[in-house]
Formats: sequence, C-alpha cells, structure tokens
Amino acid sequence: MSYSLQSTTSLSSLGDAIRSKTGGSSQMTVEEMITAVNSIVAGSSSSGWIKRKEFYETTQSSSATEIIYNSYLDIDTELEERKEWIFVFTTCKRNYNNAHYTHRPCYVYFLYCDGSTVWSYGNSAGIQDISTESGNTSPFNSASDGSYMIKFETYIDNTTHTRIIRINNNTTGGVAPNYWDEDLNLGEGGYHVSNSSKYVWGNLFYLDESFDDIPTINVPQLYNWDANGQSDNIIDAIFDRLTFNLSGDNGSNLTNAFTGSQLGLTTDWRSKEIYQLNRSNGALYNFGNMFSYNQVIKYPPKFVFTNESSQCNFIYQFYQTFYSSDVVKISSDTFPQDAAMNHNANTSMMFYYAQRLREVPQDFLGYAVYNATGTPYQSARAVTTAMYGSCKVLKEIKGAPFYPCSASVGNKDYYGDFATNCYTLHNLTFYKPNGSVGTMNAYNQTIDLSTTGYWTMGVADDPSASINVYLEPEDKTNKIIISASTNNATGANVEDLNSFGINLAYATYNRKSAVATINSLPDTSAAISSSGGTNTIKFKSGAGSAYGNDYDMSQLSAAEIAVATAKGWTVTLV
Amino acid sequence: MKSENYNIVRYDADEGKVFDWVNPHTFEDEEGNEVIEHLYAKTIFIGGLDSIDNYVEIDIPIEE
Repeated sequence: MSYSLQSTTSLSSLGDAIRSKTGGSSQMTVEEMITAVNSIVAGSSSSGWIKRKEFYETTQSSSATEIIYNSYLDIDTELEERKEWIFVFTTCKRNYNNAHYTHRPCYVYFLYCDGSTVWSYGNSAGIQDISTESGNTSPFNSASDGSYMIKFETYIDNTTHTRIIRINNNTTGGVAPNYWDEDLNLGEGGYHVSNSSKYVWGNLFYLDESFDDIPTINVPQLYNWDANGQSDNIIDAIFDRLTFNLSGDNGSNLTNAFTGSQLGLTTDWRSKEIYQLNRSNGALYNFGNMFSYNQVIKYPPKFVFTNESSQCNFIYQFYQTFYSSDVVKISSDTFPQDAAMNHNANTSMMFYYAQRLREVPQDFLGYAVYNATGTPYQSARAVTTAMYGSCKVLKEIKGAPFYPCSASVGNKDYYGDFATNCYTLHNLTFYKPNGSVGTMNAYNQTIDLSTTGYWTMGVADDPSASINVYLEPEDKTNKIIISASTNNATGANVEDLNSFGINLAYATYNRKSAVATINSLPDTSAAISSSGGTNTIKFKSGAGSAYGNDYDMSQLSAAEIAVATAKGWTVTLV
Repeated sequence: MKSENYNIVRYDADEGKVFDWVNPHTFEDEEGNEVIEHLYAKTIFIGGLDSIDNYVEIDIPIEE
C-alpha cells in the first residue's frame, strides 16, 4: 500500500500500513508490544528488558556474556486516552575509536498505537548480526561495559498537547539524552552507554488526526535503511517530511539504502536531495546497491555534496545502483559537478538489467571523471564491467565513462560486458561532458559491441512486434511502443531512436553508429605506444546491411577505421 | 593531386578460424573474479600502433 500526504490523511491510515505488514507484526496489546519490542532489540533473546512503569531499574546478569536490560514503556492513562501515537526508533551500533565515531547497521522500527492495541513494524527478526564487527560478539553484549538499562520516559507537553515518549539508554556515568528538539531525528535522541556500546534511541511523538504535527524527520544515515523494502509503506507516507541530511561517519555509506524497495509508486525522488555533510577532504561515499532490485523508482534523488574545501568529494563503488530498475531516464542532476571517482571507483553493473532504462544524459557521470575545472582524475582501478549490460530498451549511451588510469594498472579490461545485449541501442559515445575527445591511459581494453543493437531473442518476425515500456509505471495505458523493423518493412526509419531491429540485418547499432563511436573514443595512443598492449573495439559484421551500404557494418571504410587506429584502438569484426 | 594512405592492413581469418589475442585479456566480473576473455574475431584491421604478431589464428571454438 502506499499513501499520499494530504491534510486529511490520518494517522490511522499509517497505522493500517503497520498493521498490514507481515513478518512478526500483528495486533497486540501493550503488554504484547513490550514483548515484541524485546524480541526486536534483543534478537533471539526473550529476556525482559522492558518493564512497564518502572524507572531506572537496572538488572545485570551475572553472566559475562549476557546482559539483561530493564526498561519500561510508560503508557499512562492520558496517553491511552490520546488514542493514537507512533514511536519511531532506530537501532545502531556506534563505535568510538581514536576520537572518531563510526556507526554501523541501522534499522528503523515503528510502533503504532491506536489507543487499544499496539502494532509494531520493523525487523522483528532482531537486530542485524553485527558480530563480525571487530571487538563485538553480539548486540547489546559487552562484557566490559557492565549493565545497560534502556528506559522510556514520557511526558506531556501541555502547551502543544503533545505526548512525548522517549527511550533512554542509561547506566552509571551515562549522559542525559540530548535529542530533545522539535524535529524527530531518526537515529538521534539517545546517548551511548560507553565508547563501545550499542544503543537504542529514538523519539515518540503524538500525532494529531492529520499529519500536520509531524516534524521534519532527519535521516542521519542510509546504510541498509530501507533494505528489502522493509519500511516502504511508512516512508512513503511520510516521504514529504523526510530530509536526508547525512552526517557523521556513517553518513558516507548509502549501501543498500533502498535495495529492493518498492518506494516510488507515489513518491517522486526527483524532489529529494540527499545532502552529504562532508567530514573531511577526500571523504568516500559508497553508493553500492543503493537502488538495486528497485522495481518502481522513476528518478533517483539528487546528491548534494557540501564541501568547503577545494578538494573534490569522491564516489566510491557506485555499482549496481539501478539494477532491475524501472527508471526510464537518468537525470544529469543526480551527481553534482564536484563529485569525482576515487582511485577505486567502480561502476560495474551500475545499470545492469535496468529493463526500462531508455537513455542516459551525456554528462551523467562526466563529472565523475573530470572535476569542475576539467582536470581528469587519475584513477588507478576503475571498473565498468556490465555497466549497461542487458539494458534492453536503452537507445543511447552518451558520455560513456573512461578512466584516465595510471599505466601501471592499465592492463586490465574495464569494459567486460559493458553494453552486452543492449538490443535497441542506436548510439554509444565516449565524449567528455564538453563534447571533446578524452585521453585514456590504459591498454588491453575491449569494447565489445557485437551483440548490441539488434534483438536476438524471443521476438518473432512480425511487423507489429513491439516492446512495451511503460513510460509512467502507475499509468499502464501510457506506454512506449518501440516499433520493429522487419524484413518486410518498407520505409522503416532506422534513424528513429524508437525503432529496433529484430535481426542482425536490421540492427540499429550499425555502421553509422560505429563511426560515431569511433570518433568519440578516447585517445589511447600514448598508452599503447609505451606498453605494447592492444585496445580493441568489436563490431558485428553485417549489422544493418538491410538499410544499405551506408549502414552496413561490413562496409566500414579505411578512413573511418583509421580514426580508431590512430587513437590506439584496433577495429575488429566478429 | 590527392592521395590517401591510412596504413591499415586488413586480416581475415581462414575458413574455420578466428583471431584471438596472443596474450590473454582479462576483466573482473561483478564478484571481482578475473575472467579470461577472447577476441574470436573474423576480421581485424591493424594500424600503425598494433601488430599482427599480437594475434593468433585458432579454430572456431565449439559453443557449449
């Protein structure tokens, strides 16, 4: 289910979303809710770390490996009479090492009360096992940190008539919570017990019948935030209130943030900006799998890097980001001008199997290779394996990346399966954002376009054959029909980017396309001269032959081929 | 008078043959494993920066 925010949207509908979720969430009494919360935050342990109506009680197990946490959720009569409330909290592990905090996996949980029953929604299977983290064996388990107490406190703000329930994690020497502000800060609001403890924190706020009282919700980190779509309905309902201000050390990690998420049915991510508050020069940002297996997102958000220094921020391992995505068009606004690939940049499988990706703007990743001043970034190892593999309705690839690698690591092919099975591709070019030809200091590169530009599987020789691509996912009637060029077609317009060929002779990636590609290839002559290696580009002999010699790949002229060889690329026909 | 010389030599593999690289080319798959890739081209156009010595004719591989 998805919800659009309207003034009449009630918290009950949000509660419906929670109630409807499976995976351990079901109708329960307050007491059962306490038990559910126990299971959520204590993993498989069923120790009762939450007790009701108890303050500051601490119990510590005598076992060095087991800590029992006694906390409470005080739901007094007035709160119950308030009917609806929602508690949002997160779990995270925070390490402190060398005056440096790092955060590890963060799960978001929601508890919703409709006055008589409490519903929980979140990862009821327990906290992610972070036992592989150095120095830790299991969540909330540290022999050296003594006991933990987690408590919820409530009070009523009589001015705003707001019921506030907060959860604290306190022990001897603990610091009072400092999260109490007007905004609901997911991930903030508690305090750590010790330098190496794990902790739970969050805010609970009472909502009016409409969502007018919902404060801005800041998300401090996105690592695994909505992995497997576990919080889709909730996020969708409060999407307009979400502000993605990423801070802290783990703000650099967006891995798996929305993997498998179904967000996008009603949300338009183009309106969202994800702010990276730069901690230091050269901060690394990991976008791996950020939107992998995402079926419905239309446009990615815009990443905004705020860097006060002259150094560029780096994008690290930006791969498989839009796997299987329905994204139709990538915006050139996604990455800012000062973003750049670092020396381990990786865009492999970035768009792999993005079944409905139709085009990529020329400057989409241009700034990842060249900084704002036009200086290429020296990348030691940049991978573009299968970057556009199986993008079956992708009609153009402009500004395909190339990395000015250092020669010492330039002997590995970065273009394996780069554009394999792009059946409807018409054009592929490597120009820099300003339209000029670049320089690539690498050898043993192979750009294989022999399987590109013609449909080879599952399409009958039928003039009416078409690929149905829904331009607007929610509007099944508004679809793109990509016309087919067939043996019997007359007047088939190969220049029409919305056409595709159902056999090699009618390939849309043909001689004219190859000439454009060759003209845009980066210059590798210096690298080839010094290394003695080879760079190869592969075309399919006979592609486009049905359109005449001008389109027949087999008719590539010496003059056209010479442009490639002069830049160190050997042209081959398969 | 106009002349054009692009110093390109075309090589076509014999019947039943294709060209491959003498020195194997590799790439990394999505899991970081090194994968050997093959050229298997019927025709290559050698320019001034390349040499036919970088290639070898082999039998057309049997598709599995």
